[in-house]
Amino acid sequence: MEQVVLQKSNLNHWVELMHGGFQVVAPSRVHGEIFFLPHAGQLESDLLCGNATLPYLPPKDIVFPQSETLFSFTRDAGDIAFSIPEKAFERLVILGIRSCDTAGIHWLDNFYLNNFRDFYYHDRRDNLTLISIACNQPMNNCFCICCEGGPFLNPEKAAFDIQLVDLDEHYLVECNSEKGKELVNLNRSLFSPPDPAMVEARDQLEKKSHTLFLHEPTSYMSTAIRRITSNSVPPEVWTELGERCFDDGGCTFVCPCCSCFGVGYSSKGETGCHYRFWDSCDYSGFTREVSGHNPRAEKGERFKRRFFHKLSYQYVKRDGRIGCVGCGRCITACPGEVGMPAVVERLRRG
Amino acid sequence: MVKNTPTICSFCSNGCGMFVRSDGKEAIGCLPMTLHPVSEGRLCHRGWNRFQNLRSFNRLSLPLVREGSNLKEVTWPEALQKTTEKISELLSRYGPQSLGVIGSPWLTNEDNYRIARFSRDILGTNHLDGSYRFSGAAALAALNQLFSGSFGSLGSIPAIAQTPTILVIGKECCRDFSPVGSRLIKAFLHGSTVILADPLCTRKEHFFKYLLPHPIQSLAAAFRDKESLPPEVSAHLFQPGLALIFLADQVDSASSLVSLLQSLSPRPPTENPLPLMIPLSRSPNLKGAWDMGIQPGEGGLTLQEMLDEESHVKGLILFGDDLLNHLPTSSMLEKFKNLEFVLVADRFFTETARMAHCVLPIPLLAETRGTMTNSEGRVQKLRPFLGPQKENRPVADILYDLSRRLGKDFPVFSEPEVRREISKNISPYTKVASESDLEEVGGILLPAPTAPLPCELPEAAEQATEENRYRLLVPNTLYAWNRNQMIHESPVLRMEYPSDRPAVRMNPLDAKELKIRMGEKVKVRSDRGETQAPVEVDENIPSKVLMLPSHFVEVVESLAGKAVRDVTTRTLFFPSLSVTVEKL
Amino acid sequence: MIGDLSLYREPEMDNIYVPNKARIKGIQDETYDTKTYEFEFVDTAVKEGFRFLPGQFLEISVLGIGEAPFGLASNPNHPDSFRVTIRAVGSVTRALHELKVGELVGIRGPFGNGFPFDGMKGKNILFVAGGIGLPPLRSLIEPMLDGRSEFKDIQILYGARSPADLVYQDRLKEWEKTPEIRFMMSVDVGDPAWIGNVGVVTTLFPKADILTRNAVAFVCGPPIMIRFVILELLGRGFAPENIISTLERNMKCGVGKCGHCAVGHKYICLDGPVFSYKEMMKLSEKVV
Repeated sequence: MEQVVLQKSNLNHWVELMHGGFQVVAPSRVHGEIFFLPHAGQLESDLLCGNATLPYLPPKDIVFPQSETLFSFTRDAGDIAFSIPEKAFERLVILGIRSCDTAGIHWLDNFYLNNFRDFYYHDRRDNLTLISIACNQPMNNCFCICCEGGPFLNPEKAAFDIQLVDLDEHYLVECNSEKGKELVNLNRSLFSPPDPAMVEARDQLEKKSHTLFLHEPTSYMSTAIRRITSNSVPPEVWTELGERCFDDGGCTFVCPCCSCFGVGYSSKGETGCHYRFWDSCDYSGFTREVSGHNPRAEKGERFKRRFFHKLSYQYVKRDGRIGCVGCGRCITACPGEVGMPAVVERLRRG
Repeated sequence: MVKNTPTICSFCSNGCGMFVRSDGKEAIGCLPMTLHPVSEGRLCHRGWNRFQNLRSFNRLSLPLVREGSNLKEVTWPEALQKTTEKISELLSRYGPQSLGVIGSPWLTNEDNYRIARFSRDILGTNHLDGSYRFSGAAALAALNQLFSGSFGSLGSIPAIAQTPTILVIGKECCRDFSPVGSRLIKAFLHGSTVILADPLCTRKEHFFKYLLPHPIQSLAAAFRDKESLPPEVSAHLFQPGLALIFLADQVDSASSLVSLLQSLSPRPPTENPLPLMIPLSRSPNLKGAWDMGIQPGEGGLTLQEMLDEESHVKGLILFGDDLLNHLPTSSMLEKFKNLEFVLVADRFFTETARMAHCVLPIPLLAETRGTMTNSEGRVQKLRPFLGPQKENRPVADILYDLSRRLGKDFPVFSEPEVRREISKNISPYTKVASESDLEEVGGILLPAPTAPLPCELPEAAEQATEENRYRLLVPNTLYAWNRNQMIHESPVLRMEYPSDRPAVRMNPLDAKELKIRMGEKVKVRSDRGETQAPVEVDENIPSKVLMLPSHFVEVVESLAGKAVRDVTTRTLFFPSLSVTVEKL
Repeated sequence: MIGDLSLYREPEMDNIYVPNKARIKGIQDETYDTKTYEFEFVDTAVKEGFRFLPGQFLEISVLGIGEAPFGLASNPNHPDSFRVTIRAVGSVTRALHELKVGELVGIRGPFGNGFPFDGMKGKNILFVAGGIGLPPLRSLIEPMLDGRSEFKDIQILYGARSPADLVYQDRLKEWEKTPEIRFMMSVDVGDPAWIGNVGVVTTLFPKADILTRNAVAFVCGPPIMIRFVILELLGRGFAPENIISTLERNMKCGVGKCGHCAVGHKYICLDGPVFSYKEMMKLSEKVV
């Protein structure tokens, strides 16, 4: 991994250089919310520093959009022609993604790129470069440290392209892949080698960050993981938690590690399309069959299943990592106050 | 890239702030608004999946005109000309009282206001109403009586979280209307007492402390007869600091709601103010349409009276409502099908549109400007996520065009101009002229009404249940989700709300006692008639209770005979019945 | 609203979501609500390269209406004339039933793990099928009959609701006559013309002289039937790993991505649909 230093005042210039070959999205405030929007003009530097700030949706919707057309078809004289939508983008840089969301993208990579590669995911992911920012200060709901999701990404374990560490006037730019190197090479003169004091400062910062993140609402996952793996949680607990779940699907849609989708079919006259959209295993219709029979009719069963998929060792083995990165978005999105930390607490209490 | 348009959800009366996301050509997603006072960064499953009905291929694209048994696609001028001819014919042959106009809680305040003026000033008819006559008018009429006129806001949803006692009437108010449910949970976690009144519930969820198995009609009696209530419940209920959450759609008679509210405030109103009230609805603009005057004028007929066998109404002009799904009796359906002229202006090719003589496509709420009033009395602005489409036309343009062809002048006002008129003419809406206030997240909360006056309304009689008889409850399901076209257009939501099967639901122990298996037919007999229906077993139904959705009109009617009339609301409903059940 | 079609492009070969076009080559009425379809791929390369294992399934779509999984019901040794037996229960199957010979459908697949085959050689094989459970088992029965000498005893027990619900009636007659297999069938409810066994398929067990040693049982049918048959087989001494059945769930993609068919830690479309009873017991959700 290569480490170079970028003065914060040069960040804008570096991003301008990227416009030559890439589209760049960065966190921006619009209508009072933070979205990843195409960069135009000034970067919002307070959203690109060590204080954790998360947009409502993780950037998973850039690689796995909330809905997309799979293919469209046209009938013509007894035959049918298929076509798929144009590429969403040629090359895209996401500037300012956080460690937890990067870990989420890796979860999705493992799921979508292996074992029958998903064409549409691959089409987007292949042309994506992630410039992640390590968090020095947690937000209210952060618990990435309990889920191997941050606050700093470890180059041995996480294959990030670039990680920026906020050192007040500078960023320490940690380049961990060819794509990352490509961006730094746009103009090497913008970067300088780090002096030992800076590297030391960075390591201290990581240690301090760990302490700060461990302080705030944390969920020690291991007890919950063990209980779920061995199926030893009494069904009454799941029933009770299920009563607080409103079947809205919000946690699924905001989770960087949720990937389920449904397929819709439309046609009018000679044309039509098949499209996919985010779906949630919270919904009773998720498993309901045409006959009306529903293998997971009980709310508690569905609730249990969601957490089994996210936390059990059986799935960790399958998916390569635990299905939670500790971003805390499910806490915001859940009306019944049964996001991940609340559930893990309940499972620990027994 | 993705464009995020801040607007308000159009499914129910919660009025959650959300973003509709589009790629410039169609809707590709939805997001909740973090800063919105109602949604607060959350949506229910309808809101999260709203974009699916926005991209449906079943949208009406061209006007349709009936030729024999078919509807033919025609141009806009042809359709409007045909409509004008039919309207003129009816006006000259029978006079303006042969026409009825139906506004809709699925239209904006401004559109409903325009429709009210169109029916009065252009057509000259006072027969104006909405399908909510059967699903919500009773609650609104009751509240109108209590506050002697229109009322503004009766409470805000965020305030529920701080209320010490919450009375919820109907379990579905919680999970199905999640901003309300979420404040309930918050209140529960902070120690509030949550009481559930639901006759169709046996297993209450853990955050309900008490369960009162009464329908709204008998709750007032139960509260007056304090002996029958557990003492802790009485202690909580008759203190100040009560929130009352109910589904306006399911209040059958105005008198039942009034007696309930009066029983909760036994002392003079100044000592015990009325509870914070949230009348929920499965339509987005119930309160707005009502406030804008979609009600019969002086001497005008309600929807129920318009579709009475004896009425003189020969033509109906319907805007934005799948009316056929919301009619409670088969004679009304028959009358509708035999009208001489029906104009339907709607978004999808619904069952009602299929019956029409002329169909005009209008934009979805996601594609219109205007405001809606939610169940808190909050007036909020909609923003269209796409520019104007070629195929459909706004209601305002249709009204203007028809008026012009009828030789009259109907002014074309923009939405802000209509709001200025509304602020002058409709009393709680004085502040909606302020465009800047309306731009704020959360819109404008209408003012709270002054203290209510005591009033008496004739009560509907309550039937006792004898031994060996079952009580048949007919909840009002005319505004049921599984009959909502927008739900039907979404692949996810139609799976969440599968169609009801025409069956009576009963408790498994009762079924066992009668030796009935799921799906087997039974004969249900009341003192007014009988019917046969298959049985569905539901552990949530209490013992000796049967449940039959009201939209199985024929089955309900064969048991109940004629519906009961609510004098205040001038509408009909089916009260609970005492019945016997036999295995066939 | 698809938008501007000129902004679309040709699908690539490795796109797992775009179906291959196939024409309906033949339709055979089996019962009042069930038909067998024979398909032929339009693209020659796809047609010539098509192979499947017994027990695998196809995702067949009526374009613009819907897509659903269907078990292959013909002999894998003749992949050029592959067949599927479809009962009309929902919008997709009803739309399929409206199609005529020559019309186009979309086909993706074959997907799934398939039945074990080579490991069955030298064993006594028992097939227990209920109603619409016979078609997927047929994709295993036919190749076994092709290589008959490699298997010991083969016995088929088939039950349906009524004589009108029996599928493959011509083939059943052949199975009744041939000395290669032992075949018995039963109906839950008879009709005036029916002279065979009446009762659910488990009522055949006492009369069937089932071999239980060195034996494997394949069970396919409605969930309630599978449950009772498995109980019977366990009672007769079959080991859980020698009872093989199929699990069904709502499917959307067929390739382990949409998440709908996940049961416990397995995906029915990737790790199934074929599972032994031993594997089913290990799942954290109750399936049988």
